[in-house]
Amino acid sequence: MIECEGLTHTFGARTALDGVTFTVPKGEVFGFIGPNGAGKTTTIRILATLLAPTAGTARVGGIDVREDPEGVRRIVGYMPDTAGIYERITAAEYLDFFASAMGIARDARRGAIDRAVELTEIGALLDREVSALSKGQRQRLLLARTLLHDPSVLLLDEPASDLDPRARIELRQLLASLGRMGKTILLSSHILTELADMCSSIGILERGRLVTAGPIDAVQSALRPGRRARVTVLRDPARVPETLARFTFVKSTARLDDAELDAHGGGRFEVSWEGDAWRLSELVAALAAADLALIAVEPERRDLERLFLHATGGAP
Amino acid sequence: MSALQRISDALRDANPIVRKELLAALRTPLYVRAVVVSLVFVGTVVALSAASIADGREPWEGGKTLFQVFFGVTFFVMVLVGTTFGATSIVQEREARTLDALTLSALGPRRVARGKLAAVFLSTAFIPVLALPLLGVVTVFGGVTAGHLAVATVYALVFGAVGAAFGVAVSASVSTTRAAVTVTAPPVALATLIGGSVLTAVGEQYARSHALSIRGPLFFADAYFALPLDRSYLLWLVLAPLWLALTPGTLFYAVAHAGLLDATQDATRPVKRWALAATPATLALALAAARWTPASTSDRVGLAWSLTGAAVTLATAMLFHFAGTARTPTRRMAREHTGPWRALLPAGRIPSLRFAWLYGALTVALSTALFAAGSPAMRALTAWTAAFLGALSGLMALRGARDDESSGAARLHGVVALFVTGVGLWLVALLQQLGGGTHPDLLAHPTAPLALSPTWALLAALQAVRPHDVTADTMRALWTGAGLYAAAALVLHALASRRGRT
Repeated sequence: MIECEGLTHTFGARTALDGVTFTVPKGEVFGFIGPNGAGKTTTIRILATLLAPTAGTARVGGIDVREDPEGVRRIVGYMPDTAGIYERITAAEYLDFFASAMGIARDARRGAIDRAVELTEIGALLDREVSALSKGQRQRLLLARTLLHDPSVLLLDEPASDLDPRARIELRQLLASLGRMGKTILLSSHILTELADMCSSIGILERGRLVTAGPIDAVQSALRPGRRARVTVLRDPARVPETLARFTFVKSTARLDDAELDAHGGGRFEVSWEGDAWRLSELVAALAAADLALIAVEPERRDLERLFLHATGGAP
Repeated sequence: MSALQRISDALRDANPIVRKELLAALRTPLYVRAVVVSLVFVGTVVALSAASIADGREPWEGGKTLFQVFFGVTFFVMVLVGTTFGATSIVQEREARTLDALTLSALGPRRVARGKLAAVFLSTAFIPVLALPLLGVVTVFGGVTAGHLAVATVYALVFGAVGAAFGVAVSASVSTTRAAVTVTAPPVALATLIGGSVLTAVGEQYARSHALSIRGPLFFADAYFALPLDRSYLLWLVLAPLWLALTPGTLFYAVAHAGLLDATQDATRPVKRWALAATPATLALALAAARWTPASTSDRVGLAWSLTGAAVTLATAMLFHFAGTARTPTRRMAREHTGPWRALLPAGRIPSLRFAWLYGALTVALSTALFAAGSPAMRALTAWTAAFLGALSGLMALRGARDDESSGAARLHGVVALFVTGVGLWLVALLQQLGGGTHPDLLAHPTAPLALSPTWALLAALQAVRPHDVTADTMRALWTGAGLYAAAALVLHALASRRGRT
């Protein structure tokens, strides 16, 4: 659904994007991770047809962003990171204006607005002036506007920035339901935990270059071969490595520093193994049978912070 | 659905921006304050004027004076408020990043520009509409008819719209509100001052010679009813005011449209199209003026001179505007440039700079051919101007010939060239004077052939030099300069083409 090949953009002498290549299949929720200034916004603005790439190609739904921007705009919904919003009109007037501006026929307009309002749950806000809405409510209104023309691709630039925890959870749920509706979503964030539960695939961007991209598991396997889990026991921690050593698929068992646990005779370990989740269940069964007072097993599957640090060279 | 509702829906669908902008304006305290202050200002001036003319004069004379005061102040306020609102209309959206959403909508740059223009005009037009009760004071004194009031109101609205269009054009072309307001304020103040003075002077003379009952800047309000319906009426009271409003109004609209196009589109095209439409209209009006009114040879040469000055100014402005376009046309530009427009309106930096040159040269040549074919001085000046524009465009093309070169380099070289040729000669004269030399004969100076035209354009604008004052020295300087600049134009454009290919 989204294809970028050798995407490059320069602002004067500064290269904001340098040969970025990635693909997002239809129905995927793709998270763009990177620190501020990595090139996330530039990529999204190119895909939204607001910036022309200096070199390379970008296609959305098979349409080249430079060849037919109007065609791309018809299938894309774009929500910017620091979007202003018309202050002196009500939320209902705001949506009506954009429904009209998007070229939605008059008889279909009411239905389009109702659908977007229902999805974003802003029915109670419609009569309020936009200037009176909270940050989270504005974000929902912006998302409702983005959804008015029922785009098949959503480009969301830092959608959860500056939101309080409750608004963030609500937004996550909303994006999850949009994902279930089959929409292709590309969202960016520099807050990694924000993306962990929402994305099926990720791209890690740093200083304009794409470090890696693909499904989270695949990225993890490529960057840190094998799976990892943290195991916590309250008794006889010295027996954990010997208990696990019996399994040939276990690659390593490393004890982690935890002063409080150590003081109480317990211990925490990072276990790395080859194979699927069933293998982890065998390990858990063995540890439980060894009577080590096993209290926690935490699979590392979606630890994006670790992945990011590892990919960008800052990992332990 | 009621008829009113249907009309409201139709207006909303025609351009949703207008309704949204008006709703927002009416709820914005700053807008309400601006309207109230404007009305208080107009009311105070009218009341003070009414008090000062109440004694010792015939009431109908006082009525005429109040009529001039009311519309003079209303017009001033409309232009001031309209340009200020216009200047903030698009750039504020750009700063707040709400313009992105409009860009991505189905409205398109044309409808956005029109919607903004209409909204600014309507919100400004509230001022004269709300001030209409003050006209009651004017009519109490007598001396003016409902027709006078109607004509003056239409003029105030039309030229208020031109002011609003100027503001919107600037707003679409700059990146900050402060820059927009800074850029619009001086030209508007200057245009209002000069326009008011010219209109007052012309009005006095015209009203006296045609025995009009209203003198001064609003003489035309009476002229529409007092003069016979003939060619002169059509020319000066219908075509000339239309041209005066439409030519700048459509230019400002074209600039606003160009400012809203994205990087993959040809932002030079709206201005080029405007030039191709406005120039024949201007020449046709000038032809009608020369044929339908008694004009001496000196008047016709003066007309050609003025048109030359306007064409050179416009072509130079185009050169600087077009220098900012993409060096290589995007695939989209190539796709959109089809049909008969393709050859006439080429995309890309170098072809656009050549378009500006050819436009200037052709317009100047046509003006001279139509109005001053018998003047050797105008022929020499035409050749000089065409060659000078060629050299200037060639220099800018050469400095912006490569993809990796920014438009800034081309513009900087253009500014330096204009400065050197326009001011250089005067600087040389000044230095010679400071060095204790005698007052130099500028036109006999060795640098005169290369430094003449901008100096002349300035003098022509000030009506300081007339073609029949041209001496043999000047003629020699003009033809020598024309030859030198023509050679430079050919060399520079050839070099630019070659550099662009490497």
